[in-house]
Amino acid sequence: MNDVTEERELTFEEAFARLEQIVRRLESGEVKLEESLLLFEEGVKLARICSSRLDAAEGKIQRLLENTDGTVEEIPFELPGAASS
Amino acid sequence: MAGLFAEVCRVALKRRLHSGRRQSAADTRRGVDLEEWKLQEPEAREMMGDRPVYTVSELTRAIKETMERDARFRGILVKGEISNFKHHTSGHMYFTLKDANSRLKCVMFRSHNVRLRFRPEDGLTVIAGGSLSVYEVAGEYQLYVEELYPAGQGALYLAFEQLKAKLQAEGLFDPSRKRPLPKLPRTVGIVTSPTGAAIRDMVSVLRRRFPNVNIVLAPAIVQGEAGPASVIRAIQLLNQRDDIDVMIVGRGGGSLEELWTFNDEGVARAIAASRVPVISAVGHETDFTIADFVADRRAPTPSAAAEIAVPERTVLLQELRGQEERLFLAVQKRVRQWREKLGYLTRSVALTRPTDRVNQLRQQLDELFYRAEINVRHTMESKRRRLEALAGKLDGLSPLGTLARGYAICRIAATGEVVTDASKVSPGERLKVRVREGELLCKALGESPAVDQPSLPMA
Repeated sequence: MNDVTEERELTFEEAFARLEQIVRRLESGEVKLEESLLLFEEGVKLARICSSRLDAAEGKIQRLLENTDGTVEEIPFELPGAASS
Repeated sequence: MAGLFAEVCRVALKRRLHSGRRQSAADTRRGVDLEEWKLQEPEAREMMGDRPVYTVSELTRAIKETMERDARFRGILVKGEISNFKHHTSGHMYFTLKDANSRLKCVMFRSHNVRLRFRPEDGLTVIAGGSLSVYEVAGEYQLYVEELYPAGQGALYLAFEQLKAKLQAEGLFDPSRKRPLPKLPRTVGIVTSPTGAAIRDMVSVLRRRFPNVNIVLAPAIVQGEAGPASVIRAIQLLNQRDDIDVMIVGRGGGSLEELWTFNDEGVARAIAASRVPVISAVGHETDFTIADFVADRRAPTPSAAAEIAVPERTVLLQELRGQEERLFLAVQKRVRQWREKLGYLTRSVALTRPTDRVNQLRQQLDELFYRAEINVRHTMESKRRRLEALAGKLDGLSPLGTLARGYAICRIAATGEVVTDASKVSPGERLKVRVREGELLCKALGESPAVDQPSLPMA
């Protein structure tokens, strides 16, 4: 129950599932005070991880271009003519 | 008598020679008993009359020429069931078309059959187009087939059915092969045409649902001859990267011909071999392409694929906030319960083992508050308020709060040790008594008579 939370390795799904688990445990009322506080701390940390996962992507759109020599480039992609945006 | 007979023979021979025949019956009968021939010859001569005698080759050639000149046998269509189908190593196909009452030998040379989009096989009913002629060596007439169509179904549809059966038998459509899609992809790959409605729709839906998701387009030709190779290459390029979490392969709607690229065997195998999970989106609401069967998920349209590929960010955020809310409430409640319990305890005479325990917890809470505050700075304001409220409530549990309420903490003056057991204090012992304001130096008179001093359990 008092696992060390590995920030770099947890996916959003894993962190969120663990957070839900902590919340359920805390709500069950079966926990001693000290453990409650530790769980609370872990929960806050997990919530932060979830939040950062949601913010992780940078919103880039790119297209690939394969050159005749076999190398592949990335160039920014623009949507074809805005007929109906 | 003999003279007359000889005279008849001579006349017969002359007649034959004069009629211009190249090979006389007499020549061919060189090996036969001359006497017997002489007896039979006139009767045979009588029956044969003036008719020409052909060689087999001459006759065969004549039939062939007749057939080839007759318009009724040029460029015709014949329907029948294939049997005795053989596909030679030379590339030529030989088969027989039959119906209930007759059979027709056929040949379809390689130059014509390479273009076939389905595999002819025994039992298949087809319509063959071509011209009749004669294979002279065997003395057989044949249909020289230039075009072949499956009867009752399009060639394309038949090819689709054949490929589908083949790949299914290989297990490429097995549900167990299908990979789960990532719940929160950071980068979505797309294989489609860089122009057209499909890419526009997909980008629009992706942006709406998850504004900051990354998108990488591997452009491809999605119909015609060049389609399959182009799509296969695009899938490979996306697989070469390590940042693509899921990919969508597809195009907008079209006819069976236009969608044919996604029924190509090579494309199907490329999807099956893809390390990155594939959502196929070939805009065909009701019909499935082979790509749809092989992919890890199938979407009826490109927009639907984009909906499957990413979750709605706002929904996830709401769920997260919901959990945070419950987290705070649960801890608050737990602490309140403890405080109430402690409140009961402090209503009794003394505070058992107070300082260390409460101090420890107070320190933990301070640290927690500090660290949580840093966390909270990244999220919502309300969390900070809650934490402060929490800390405020807990303040009441600290020794200082207790002192404020009128309780005292008693220590042995010499050692500073906290007094918890009255019986352990000797009469005359010097004590330090801490109250809310200041400290008293006291001398114990001794233990006061026990009235009602229960041992108090700890929280």
